[in-house]
Parts: sequence; C-alpha cells; structure tokens
Amino acid sequence: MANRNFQPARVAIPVLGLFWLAVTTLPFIFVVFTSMKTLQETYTNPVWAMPEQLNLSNYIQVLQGSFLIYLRNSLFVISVSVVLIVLVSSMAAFALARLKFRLNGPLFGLIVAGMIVPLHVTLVPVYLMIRTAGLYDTLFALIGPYVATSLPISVFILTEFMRQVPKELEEAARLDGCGPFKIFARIFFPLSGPGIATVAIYNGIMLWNEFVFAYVLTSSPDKRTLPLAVWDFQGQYASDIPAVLAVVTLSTLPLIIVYAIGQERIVNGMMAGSLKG
Amino acid sequence: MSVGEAVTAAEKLRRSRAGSRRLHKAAPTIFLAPAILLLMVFLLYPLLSSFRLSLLDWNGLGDGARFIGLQNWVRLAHDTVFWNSAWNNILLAFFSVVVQLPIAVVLAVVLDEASKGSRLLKILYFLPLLMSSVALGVLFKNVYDPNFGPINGILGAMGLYSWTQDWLGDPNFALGSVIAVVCWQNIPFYMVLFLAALSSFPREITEAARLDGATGRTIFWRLKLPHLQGTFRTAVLLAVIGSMRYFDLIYVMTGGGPENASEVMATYMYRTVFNSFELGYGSTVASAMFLIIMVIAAVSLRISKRFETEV
Amino acid sequence: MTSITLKNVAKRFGQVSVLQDIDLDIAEGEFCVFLGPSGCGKSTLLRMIAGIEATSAGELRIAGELMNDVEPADRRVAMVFQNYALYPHMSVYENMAFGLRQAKTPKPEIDARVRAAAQTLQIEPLLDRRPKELSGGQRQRVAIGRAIVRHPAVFLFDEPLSNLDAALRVHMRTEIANLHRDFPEASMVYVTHDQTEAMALADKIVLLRAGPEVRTRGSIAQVGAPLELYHRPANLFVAGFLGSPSMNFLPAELVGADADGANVRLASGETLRVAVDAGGLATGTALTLGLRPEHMRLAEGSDSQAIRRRVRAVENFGEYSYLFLSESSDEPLIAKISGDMLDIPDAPIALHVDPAECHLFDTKGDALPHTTAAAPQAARMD
Repeated sequence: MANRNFQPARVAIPVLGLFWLAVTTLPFIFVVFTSMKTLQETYTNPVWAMPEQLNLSNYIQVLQGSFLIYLRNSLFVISVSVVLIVLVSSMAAFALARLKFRLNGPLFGLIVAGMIVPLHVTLVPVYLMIRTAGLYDTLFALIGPYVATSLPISVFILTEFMRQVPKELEEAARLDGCGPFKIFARIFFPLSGPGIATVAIYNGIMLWNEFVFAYVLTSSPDKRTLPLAVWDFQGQYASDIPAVLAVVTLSTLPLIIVYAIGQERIVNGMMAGSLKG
Repeated sequence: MSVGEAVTAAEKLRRSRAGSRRLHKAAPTIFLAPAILLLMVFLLYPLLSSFRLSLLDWNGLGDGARFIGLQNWVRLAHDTVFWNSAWNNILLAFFSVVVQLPIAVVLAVVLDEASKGSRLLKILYFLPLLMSSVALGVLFKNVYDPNFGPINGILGAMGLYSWTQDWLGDPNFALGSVIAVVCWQNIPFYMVLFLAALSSFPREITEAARLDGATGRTIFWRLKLPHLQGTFRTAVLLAVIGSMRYFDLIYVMTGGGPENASEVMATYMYRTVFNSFELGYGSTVASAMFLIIMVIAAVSLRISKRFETEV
Repeated sequence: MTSITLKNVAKRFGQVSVLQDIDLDIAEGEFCVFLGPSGCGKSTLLRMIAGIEATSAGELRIAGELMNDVEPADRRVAMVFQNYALYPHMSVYENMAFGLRQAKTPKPEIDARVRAAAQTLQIEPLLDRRPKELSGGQRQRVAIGRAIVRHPAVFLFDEPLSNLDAALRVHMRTEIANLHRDFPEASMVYVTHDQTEAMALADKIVLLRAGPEVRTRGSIAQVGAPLELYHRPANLFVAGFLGSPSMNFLPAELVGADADGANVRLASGETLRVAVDAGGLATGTALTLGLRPEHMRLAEGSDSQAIRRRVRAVENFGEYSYLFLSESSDEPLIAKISGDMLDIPDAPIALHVDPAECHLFDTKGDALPHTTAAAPQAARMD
C-alpha cells in the first residue's frame, strides 16, 4: 500500500528536478556558447549549435575596451560602501539592541520601515541633490545612496543578532571597566562576525548588481560600475550579439567565482532579506 | 594580598562620576547619529522632497520651475498610461504569486526529498539570483530575439512557424514575456525560503506519523504543507511588495514598450523624468507610486495578520 | 572591619518591588550566602552590589564608601557569573587580562597576575585556548581566574555551580572554599538556591523571602550562621525552606507552660512536651508545631512523647527511608528514619519526638524562643 502511494513521487521528483535544471541552466549555456561564436556564425548556424571552435576573441575585444575600468569602479564603490554599511549599521544596531533610551522602540520601527520604501521614489531628489553637491558623475555620488538604502535591512539583521548576545557578557565587560563605547568595540563588534558577514554578503551582492542609481547618477564610462558595462556595451555593439553576451558573461563571472567558494554563506546571506517576515 | 590598589578609591570615584558619566549618557545619540543622518538625507528628505516637486512644472534644468499646485495630480488622475502601468504592476504581483510560489514550493519539496545531489542542484538552481538584472535583461532580450533568438529558432526547427513571435516587440506578448523572466529570476529565492522551512520540519513528527501509519503522501499534504503556511504568507508579502516596485529588468528588456504594453509605475516614472524631462510630473508619479505601495503594503500586512489569527 | 553595608536598600522595576528593607552588614573576609527560592531577588541584590543594577533606594557602602553611583569597575568587586560570561572571541589569557588592560595596569604586572592565578587554579596549559574549547569545569575556573587577577575586596558569585553536573559541583564547591581560605581579607558574596551549597560554604546565610505576599516579598527572612538558621529558624518561612524534606507543620493548641517548656495538644489528641518558652501566652492559644522529618525516630513501648499514625507509603533509599504518614490534612506527615522499613500499608506506627527538637510558631508565623534546655550541641572531634 505505502509503496504504491510512493511510486508517482519516486518518478516525478527526479523528472521535475532535471526539468528545472534545464530551465535554469539553458539560458546560461546559450550565453556562454554564443559569446564564443563569431558574428558570422550567429547568422549562418542555428542558435543551439555549438561554437565551431573555442573562440575567445570576443572576450579579448571586450577586455581591451573599458571593461576593466568598470570592474575597478565597481570594486571601489562596493568595498567603500560595504565597509561604511557595516560600521554605521553595527553601531546603530548596538544602540538599538543593548542601550536603554526613551525612543528605542519607535526608532527601531522607523528605521526598519525604511525597507518598504521604493527607492525609485527617492531617485529624482537624490539626483538633484547629487548635482547640487557637485558629485554628479563621480564614484562618490553612489556611495551615499548605496549606504543609506542598505541601512534598514542591515540594522534589522544586526539588531536581531546583537539581541542574542547574553547580557552577562556586557555586564562582565562593565565590571572589567568598559563603558558603552568599549563594550561595542571590544565585545559586540567582534562577536557579531557572522551577522556582519551576512550583512556584507547581502549588500555586496545587491550593490554589485545595482543599476538604477548608477545609471542616473553617473554618465561617463570611466565613472560607471559593472551593471552599466552591460548596458553601455549593449548600446555600443548593438547587433554584435556575441560581444554583448561576452560582457554579460564577464560581468557575472566574479560573483559566480565568489559563489563557488562560499555557496552556503552566500545563499544564507541572500536569504537574509526574508527575515523581515 | 592587599585589598587596596595603587589609585586611591576616592580618586577613582571622582573620575568615574564626572566625565565618563556624561559621555555614557550621550552614547545612544553617538551610536545612532550616523545612521539617522544618512537615512534623513538619502531616504526621508527625498521622500518629502518628491511631494514638493510634484507641485512644480519643471524640466529639471535651471530655474524654470513654476508652482502649479495640484495640477500634476489632476493630470495623473486622468493619465491612462499611469493607471495602465499600475494595473500592470498588479498583474505582475498576481502572476508572481500564482506562478512563482507554487513552482518554488514544488522545487523545495524536490530538493528536500532528493537527498542525493540536492546540494549541487541547490547551487545551480540559485544561479539566476546572482545575476544582475541588467545582465539578465540583455540575456533574455537575446533569447527572445525574433530573428536570432533560440526560442523562435527552436519553434522554427520544430516546424511551428506560426507560433514564432516578436516576443518583446508585440504589445500582446511583451508583458507576458517580461513576467516570465521575472518569475525565472525570483523562483530560486522563494525555493530556498521554502526549503529552509521544510528542513526545519521536526523529524520526530514525521516518525510519529509513520508509526501512526501515515503514508508519505499524507505526511506531505497533511503535515508538511500546513507547516509551510507561515513562510507562504511571508513569501506572498515579499512577492507583492517586490512586484509593485519592479524596475530594472523591465526597463532593460522593453523600456516599458511597445506602446506602454509592459509599462510599470517605476519605468513610467523614470521615462517621464529622464526622457521627457517632466521632472515635476515625474515626481507626481513617484509620489503616487509611494502612496500606492504603502497602501498595498499596509493592506497585505493586515490581511496576512488576519490569516495568522484565523488559523 | 565591615566590608559591605546595606542600609534600607530597595529595588523596584517600574511599579514592581523586588527587594525591600534590606539592612545587612558583611564583614571583611566573611563568606556570605544569599539564599532563597527563585524570584526572591537574591541575584538582583548581588547585581546591585556589583553595580550592574541601580539601587532604587537606600545606601550601599563598600569599605565605608558610598557606592550607589560608582561604576562597577571602580567598586573593587569581581564577579563570577552563572553562565561564566567568558568572552568567546578571546583566549583564556586575554579573558583574564582584559579587565587589567582596561585599568591600564603595566604589562609585566598583568602577566604576573594572570600566570599566578592560572597556577592557583591549575589552568596554565589552557591559557591559549578559546572558551568554547573548554569543559564546563574549566570554564568555571577561568571565570574565577578572571575575578582573582583583579585582587578585589569583594568576590561576587552568581549561582556559579548551577551549570555543572552533580559530581563536579561538589568538587568545585571545595575549590571555592579553598579560594576563600587563600584570600582571607576578601569578602565573598555567593548567591544560590541550593541549600546544601549554602550550608557547606557560608559563614553567614541571608535567607530572602519570595512568594505571593507583596508586603514581605524580597525582604530578609533571617540572617545568621547556617546551623543557627537550621536549628533556630526565626519564622515559618525559614523553617520550611531549610531542610529536605521540609519541616512538618502541625496545628497545635497550648495546654500549659512552665520555665522549662510547654505542653501542646495536636488535632489528633496527643499531647507533646516541647522545649519552647511559651510563658507569655494564654492556655488554648492556637500555634503551629514544627517537626523536622529527620528528628523523629521509632518509639519504644508506651512512649508518651510520641505521635501515632498509620503508614500511607514508604520510600527506601538504603541509607534511610521516608515514611509518609496519614494526617487529617491532605499533606502527609513525613518522617526520615535511618535504615530500611517494611512497606505495610496502613500499619500503625509510633514516632518519638524529642522536646528539644520541636519548634513552635505563633499565628503570625514567628518562632517562639527555645528554652535553655534545648541548646543544640555539636559533636566535637577530639
């Protein structure tokens, strides 16, 4: 009896699993294959055909263009932003999780509510503000909005994390002569390592892929970040599909490499966004 | 061993009372100041400023700004393109919930059951989430390409020429094609969410149920699925709110076109400001978008709370 | 010399009063145990001495100086926490050195103190380990080491043994007693809910009240040496809390009193002689008779100083047995008898009661004083 009930599941599960594997990976395979084809091939051969030879000329062409500048810009903006996000949000989280003051509860609610605000609503005023500040079309234009928009979720994650630290540690530190500043710097910040890693990974990936602020607040290629590389190259090469898809591959590659190294951490970090349930 | 220390107690007393005490009092302010400052400058002020700008007629350049009161809002009320794009957002939300969540649940169950190789599958399934929406948009623009894209290519090879379409260029298909990609991108997220919930299902309950003679099917339908209920509510909330503010992928793939067929509020707002240079009216669209999202967020939170108490 | 003085100290959390009317002196070098059921405020009192918890009212002095507003680190106290509260990200050495570093103690001095403490506690090989690589007992030692290196005037222990298994608990208990011997000038304040620990360690026990009655909750029930509390409980609360199984309480009526003692009649009709001074009370006064289970033994022949009951149940432990005897109330009378007992349901039994080991409480719950005939005698080892 039980066995007969099991039969459909036994067949369906591998079939579904493989089917979705195809759905997920085929577009990637299409991109990688096409990026290795010559332009001529894309016109003459069917789309699903393998590249005639291992042809990296599209990649060379892209890398000789300004791709590396975009990459460098991304690395710069992301690292500065993530460092600031971690610092600012862990300080705020410490105050909200451990210090007693009158507005603690409402303030936490208000900051966390910032998660729902659609960023596009802030786009125009931020654009005007950045222009007025003379930061338009600089890498620094991105850092302020990036840090600020990442704060609500980061403060939320770290506050929850710091609330888990036993209060006796804080008390022991007070007996050892620490005021709130040292308790933060010497005890809570180092102890929040896993929470900070989550915040850094989540925001790092989000900002690595961020498009709209970068699109609006910068204009020249040497001030733009990686997602804009795809956009700009698409405009530049228009119908040279293999070259465009080579850029797509190259811009995704860094994250895939990082992902290959620490999948569990990254999956968990990315899921941090769902904590707000 | 002496009880007294080098510094006399009285001296320590004085020191500990004065300066540090005042500093400790200020600690919450000092810790919170950077975060609050940043949020005020880049989130709160722009939000309020957007409403102020919505009262202007301004192309964004120079000082040609003119205060026109609520005229922009009146125009918005009669703007069929805006209401059409808001409707598209709602369609997007509806299909996100109806398509993404069931598939995600099924995949989560598949991964939960398939012990062998499920780690590798999980890693591969997750890939779409790592790609930037721009890269994804460009990718699928090529997949959908009527002349060189694999979809039409395969349909043609199968002899189904009548099925081939200009997927993104035909107003009848553009929105559907875009929604399909949105689903493709977001399913892994919900899959991992459900998978986490499933793996937190207590093993003892499964074992107890088996002792009670329950079959695998019963355990799934009567025990595990109800266990996912809370996660399901969270997922619906996330999907709905996320859909209302969707931008990147649609902007890259269609720009909202053709003929506003795939227009959503965010793309419409963007084009009004940065393509038509109607900064005042664009801000009206943005502010309206904010209000609509807040209302929808509040309503869906309320509904989800109601479900919580009923069950 | 007095080390800690509490005068009229109280603690409120919002509207809820958790400690009230605490007057207490702890002498230099004294081992003082705060004992009481959960919710009596004993940990809160300890934390107030540490400075982690603010004092709502009253004066708190350490070595004569008013400490109410002094930072914890400047009170010359050191604390050992129930869950050890070791810094997980620091080595054992750093855990012990951390407080000294904050106090800007010179490096060689820190090193000397940490190594001396490690030697005392025999944890030298562990100095480079992280807390999570240590066993419970080792963590406990590190926590004590962290207190020792500060050379405090007062050691504070907050239920330090409650996370250890039973065998280790007895072992660490003697170590803490040794520690007390090694630091004769330091006072020890020790919080526990375990009366065995309190009896074993304390020079002085402070027993705090809990319970539903707001008027007395969080106040001191009795202060005194362990045996004083055991033999001369000042009230029903102390009498009922100390000793296991708890003291039996029987309603009684005064039938006569003289200089050596009093006679009381139980509800069951028996009249017993007790070595309690009830001179001031009228015949017929309602009282409560307190009888410890371990102070009853099997009566021989027609003993008039005995109570007769039927056996409801017997629990044999080998070394001793518990007899559960039927009583008019639902609570059975419990007697602890050495050796094995046959379990014969409803068997009649007579138990002898020594007048010197009976306690009488008035209607307010306060103990009547014992007469001189009842002075407890401890066995001498000579």
